Amino acid sequence: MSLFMDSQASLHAVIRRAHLRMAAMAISLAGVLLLVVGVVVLRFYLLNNLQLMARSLAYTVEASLVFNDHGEASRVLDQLLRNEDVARSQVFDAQGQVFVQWSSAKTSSGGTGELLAAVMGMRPAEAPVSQDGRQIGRVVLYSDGAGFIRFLSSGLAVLLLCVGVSGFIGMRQSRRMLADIAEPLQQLARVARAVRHDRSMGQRVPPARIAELHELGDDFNALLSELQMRQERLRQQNSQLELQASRDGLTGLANRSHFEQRLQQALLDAEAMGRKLAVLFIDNDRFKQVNDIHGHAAGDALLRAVGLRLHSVVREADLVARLGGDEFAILLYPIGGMADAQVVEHKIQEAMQCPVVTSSGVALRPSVSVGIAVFPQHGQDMEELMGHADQAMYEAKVVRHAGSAANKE
Amino acid sequence: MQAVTRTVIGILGYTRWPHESEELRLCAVGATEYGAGLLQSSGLAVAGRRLSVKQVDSAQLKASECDGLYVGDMGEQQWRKLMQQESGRPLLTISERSALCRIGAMFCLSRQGEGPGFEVNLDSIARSGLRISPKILQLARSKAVP
Repeated sequence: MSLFMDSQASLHAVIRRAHLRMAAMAISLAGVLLLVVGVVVLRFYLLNNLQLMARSLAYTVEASLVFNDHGEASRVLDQLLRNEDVARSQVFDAQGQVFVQWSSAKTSSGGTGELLAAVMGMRPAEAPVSQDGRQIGRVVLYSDGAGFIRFLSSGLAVLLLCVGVSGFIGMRQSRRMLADIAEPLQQLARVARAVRHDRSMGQRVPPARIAELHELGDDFNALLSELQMRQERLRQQNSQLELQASRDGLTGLANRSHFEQRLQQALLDAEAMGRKLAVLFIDNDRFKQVNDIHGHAAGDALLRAVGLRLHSVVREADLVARLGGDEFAILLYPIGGMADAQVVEHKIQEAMQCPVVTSSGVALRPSVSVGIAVFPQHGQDMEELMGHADQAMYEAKVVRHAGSAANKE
Repeated sequence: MQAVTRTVIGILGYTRWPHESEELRLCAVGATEYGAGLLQSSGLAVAGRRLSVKQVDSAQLKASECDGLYVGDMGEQQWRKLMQQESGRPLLTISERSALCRIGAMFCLSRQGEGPGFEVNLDSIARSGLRISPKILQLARSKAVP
């Protein structure tokens, strides 16, 4: 059984052994007691029987003794004792001399039966032979123990049969019991293994017939449910944390580390597939002024609005991130080339046309400078690309400043 | 004790008379071969009675009132006469000659192998008015069938 270690006894063996031991003990005890009682009772009856036989023999042999007829006496003895459980018999006359004796042809004199009878305390039966109340001799009979042998052998046979039958029943019982006990345990073990190996918490222990095991299964199931819930909560927390770790709290966009991670992946992919990608750096102009004049809440609202608008102009697969402060970045992958990136830049500038209205009712006109770097033409790796984009953005800002300055003048 | 004497006493022991006195009187009649041994066994207790054995002349037989007769060598004529004379009395008859058993004697001694044997005339026993124990009869019958 895989349920248990090989070095330990299996539940089946334990139950079977217990059943067999119990059956054997009960049957043996009862059997031995019955045998003992039986032997005692049998001994009493055998003694009685032998005594009766001696008396009837004494009565039958009387005339032969009176007439000193050895032949007749021998014949009578043989006739009477031939089919009885008697080993030997002697008839003594009045002077105490042996008149006739007889020994059975069935058993050898002094055989095991006679020995057994002696061990059992079977005294030889004696009866006086008397004529008109005057004793003229005596008859002695020795049992051959056949009664005991028959009884003991049949008793032992029955005992063995009983032990066999009860053993068989015990085995069947133990099998049934095993099904009741081991089955639920195996189920429990199976579920536990599934939890350990496959981390699958979905399985449950089926109900068992035995109350304690059923309870155990229920407890186990409850534990599993709890574990499952905790795991679920942990997973949720983890994904939430992960999300938080990769997101920017203010805008809900990706943060710098997440952006860089995605950019690295995209670079590897683009290199392998021979595709192009573009990195856009976006910087808010005059953001510090907005903060200073209208307060941080307005600045935050502006950043959120810019983030939303940036998100709305790119494709589903593209990534918009807030790198920090008032700087945003966009990863466009895959992309046809510089022209596509410039189309996106144009869309961005268009999206910024509408003013942002803060909760306090202030209307702010967002204004951004965009720098573009395209892989592979502006750089082979992330640092190069980001450096180039930063540079391009700076240049664009300078141009816009100049433009705005010219507008002011 | 001689075998014949023992046998006769055995027969006496297994016989019951209708009226039993203290004394069991056995009368030896005629010339007997084994009578001497019997005569010596007078005074023995047989079935609770004292045995007395007498040699009796067949002429005096009636007066002596015997319970049993032990008959030695006797002719058939003489035997029949004796029987007629004693008819109606419960009388045990034991003969040394087996021939007499065919004409009314109850027991006839006959040697058969070792030990004394005897023959029995069941009709005579049935008519006699005596009660003879079947134990003897079995012994006798077994002799008749070797």
